[in-house]
Amino acid sequence: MHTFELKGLCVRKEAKDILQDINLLVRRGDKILIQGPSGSGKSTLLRAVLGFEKCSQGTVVYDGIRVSSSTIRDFRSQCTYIGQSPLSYEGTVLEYVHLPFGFKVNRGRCPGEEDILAILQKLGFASEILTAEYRSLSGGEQQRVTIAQALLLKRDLYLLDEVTSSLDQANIIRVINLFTGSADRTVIAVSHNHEWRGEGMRVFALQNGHLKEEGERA
Amino acid sequence: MNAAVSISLPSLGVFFLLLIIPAMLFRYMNLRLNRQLVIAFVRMVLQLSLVAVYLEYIFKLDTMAVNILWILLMVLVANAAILKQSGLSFRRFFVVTYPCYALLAFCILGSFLIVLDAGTLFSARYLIPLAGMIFGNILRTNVVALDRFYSQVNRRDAEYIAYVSMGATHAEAIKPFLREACKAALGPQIASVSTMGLVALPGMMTGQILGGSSPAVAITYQLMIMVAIFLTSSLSTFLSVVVSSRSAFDGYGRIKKEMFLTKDKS
Repeated sequence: MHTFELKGLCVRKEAKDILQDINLLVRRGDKILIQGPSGSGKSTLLRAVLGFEKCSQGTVVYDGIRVSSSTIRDFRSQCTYIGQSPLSYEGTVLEYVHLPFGFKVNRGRCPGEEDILAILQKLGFASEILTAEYRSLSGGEQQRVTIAQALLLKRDLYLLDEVTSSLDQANIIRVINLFTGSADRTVIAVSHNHEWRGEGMRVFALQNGHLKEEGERA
Repeated sequence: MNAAVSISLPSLGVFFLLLIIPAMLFRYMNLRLNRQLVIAFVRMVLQLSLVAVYLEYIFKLDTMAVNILWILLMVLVANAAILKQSGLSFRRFFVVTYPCYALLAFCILGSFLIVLDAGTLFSARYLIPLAGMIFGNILRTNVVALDRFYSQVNRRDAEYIAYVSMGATHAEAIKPFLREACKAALGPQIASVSTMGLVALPGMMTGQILGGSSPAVAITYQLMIMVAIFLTSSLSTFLSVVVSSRSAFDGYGRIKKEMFLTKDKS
């Protein structure tokens, strides 16, 4: 995926305008941070991008193709969404990391144990973590394992919904570095953590349903 | 052996008067259940009386077409009750769930040919009660499964989204929810099978013994019906969730709100 664009996106829920006329052009490798007060529609925006929120108006276009019910699967196969709370899962960390590679579309792309370990180590884990029960990990640890799992999918576009909210300072930095370190990786992160406001980040504010790039005139 | 001694209607009426005891208890405890209690028992008396009349005719007629129609009607009522109690719209789901339940009903009834000869099985006196036993017993498992499945998908939609965004197809993404729903529905069913005879004497067996059958015959029938009930419960649980979920999500994998009954109860 090279470009992806939101054109005049509006989301209306229970007679309330959550998102109004959202326009955003994202090029390959862009790192975008969306900030805004709680309830401003940041999560709704990510869900709308992925087609999980009904848009009353507007379209999502990627590489010139309008996302519709017939093209949504192709589009989603290039994205990875990580929510703020990790999945519930019974099994070891290694089994959990392998979970998406059991899906038909990812079969044959399963990473080797060395690759898995390398990424987990970058996220501050020791090798013993692979055999640990996923459920026995703390919320923050589960979140980091989920991030490792998402990175191993090697998708083009990462949609991150408050992924660092349950992490300590050192881990927040680790996670941000992993996502922003690669020039090819396109990232749209919704976060309250100020650590995301680094160099090269395009920062947007979402307020009263309107999305505005920092520095842009009102 | 003799057939069961018939109960006179006046004495049955007197027996019903015993219900005054729980009614007084409800009133004393201020449970506000007496209205429901009266409605439930009046409905039961009317329904069973009607069934008694219908069954008399159906048993007398004993033709395959009428038997099949009766079973289709039974499945329809079971289907409607399952959907209503699970909070799903009958109008929208009926088209997909009814054929599935009906097909399953005939497959399971057909499987009785392994143990009964065709002449016996297809006679109304066997076919109708067996179908009734089976469909009366799958309501709870199906309601639990559908209710659990849709409440979890709605509550943990972030998880569903995560699976889909990892590349899961619809069938792959609903699998964890399906697994949980089946576990919740069938776990208690397995427990009730394992305590059968210890905690309660099953209804069919008791009925047959009272009707004059030997306990040995009654038990073989009970064993057969337990296998059939479990088979139907487990298959219908799985099928109802899978089949209904195909209609419950739109082309984007979003759950369609209009497929659910709005809860107007406070």
